[in-house]
Amino acid sequence: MTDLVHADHVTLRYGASEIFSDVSFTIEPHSFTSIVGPNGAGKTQLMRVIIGLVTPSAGVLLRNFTMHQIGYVPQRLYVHPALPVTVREFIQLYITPRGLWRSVALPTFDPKFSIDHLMNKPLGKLSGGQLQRVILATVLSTQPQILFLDEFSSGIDPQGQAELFGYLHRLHEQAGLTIIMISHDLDITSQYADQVLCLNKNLICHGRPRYVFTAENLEKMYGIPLTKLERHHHHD
Amino acid sequence: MLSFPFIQRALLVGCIIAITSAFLGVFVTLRNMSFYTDAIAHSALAGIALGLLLHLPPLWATILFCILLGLITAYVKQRSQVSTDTVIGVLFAGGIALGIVLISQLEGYRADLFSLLFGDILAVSWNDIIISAGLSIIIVLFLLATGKRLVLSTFSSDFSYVRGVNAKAIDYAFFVITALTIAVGIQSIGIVLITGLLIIPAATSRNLARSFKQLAFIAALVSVIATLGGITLSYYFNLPSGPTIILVSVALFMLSLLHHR
Repeated sequence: MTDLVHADHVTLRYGASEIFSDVSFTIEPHSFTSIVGPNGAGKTQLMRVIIGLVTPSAGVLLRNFTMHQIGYVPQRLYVHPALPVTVREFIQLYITPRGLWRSVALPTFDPKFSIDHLMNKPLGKLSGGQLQRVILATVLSTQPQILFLDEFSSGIDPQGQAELFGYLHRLHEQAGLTIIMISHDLDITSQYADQVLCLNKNLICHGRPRYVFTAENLEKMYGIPLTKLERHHHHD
Repeated sequence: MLSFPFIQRALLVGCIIAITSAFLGVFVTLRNMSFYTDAIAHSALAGIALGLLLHLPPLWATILFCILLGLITAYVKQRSQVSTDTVIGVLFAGGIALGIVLISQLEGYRADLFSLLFGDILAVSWNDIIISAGLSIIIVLFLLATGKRLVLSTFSSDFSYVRGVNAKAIDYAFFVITALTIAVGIQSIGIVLITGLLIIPAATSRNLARSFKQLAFIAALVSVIATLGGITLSYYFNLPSGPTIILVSVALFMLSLLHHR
């Protein structure tokens, strides 16, 4: 099978500062990859390189997809609290970002998102969790084949998280959606991801969560012994 | 009042500029670019002086100078690590200083500084109106064609890029079109007050609108009411028209604060 992404000794620098270096991995189509690592490890920038938003400073990154095939939920969107753009308008903007303003019929959204009652609400008036749901539903509405999520679930309560990841997992299993996410949540990563990339400036380890989430690797990645995390290893 | 041709011309050009600046102002406030509009407007003084020195028509000299400044600001913003506010601050001070230095070099020229600073909408000619109308059509067509991309890119340039929106190109185009609007508006409302016409109707509308469509519509309505009201008041009470228009806008803004969404 042709790789979806093939990274070969990829390095990214901004001026004198090195964001990450010598990173090599592959991502297969229809896989579920989770990028984990401490703050400042270069995860978001690695995702931007994979998407094609930034060109690596060294190394080769081959991608076997086009911009039209992807959906991207960035870590945060700048939404001013007084911004009078409704959820409906936001979704319409996203679906048809070109041409004149006119009403576009909206797709139906899975009840799991519970956003139907929010359609006429201004974006700036949504709670963090509601905004996250709206953004995910919007991004999925164009039926991407590859979904990029950058710390997506941070504003959502645990029950909502479980529901949405369950939903994403079904899309992954049944519709073959490829998911590449950045997460601080090693529980969710262990539960859903079939490949994990552990990043801390360099690629510390990669592979199936059950094999790579060892005490030794986690200590190397986070710089401190993480006894709690050993559980994941034993659970898997 | 309406029987006077200069009043008819003032009302007509006032409405044209009111609608154009209100539409643009909606995007200016959305993109937090109020300070930029102020800087371009004040730097336009240098454009006017340059036009007089080089014997170019002042309006076209102002337009070219403002567009050039817009391009420089967009370029520096994207290429430098200095914050946009700082870049604009440099532009603001540099532009106005250059304008005054150039004006001081104009031999025998007694600048009507008051009309430069505060505009003279009652003095516009039919030729001015035709030029303003032509340029306003270009500006409004640009906003209609790119409006959705302008809004989408305010959320995140990466997010919009994935949807085929080149935020950098949009940035350049928007800086230029804003500079053009300011240059067109200056002759009627002046250097100091044009920012008011861009910002106040949009800000008033933000207090009232519940959707983007409402935002644009209410801003244009507020702007037209302020302009017609301002010109009427200035006629009956013998007040300077530009400042009166802005005072009416401010009054409408205050009223909008009373409205609880």
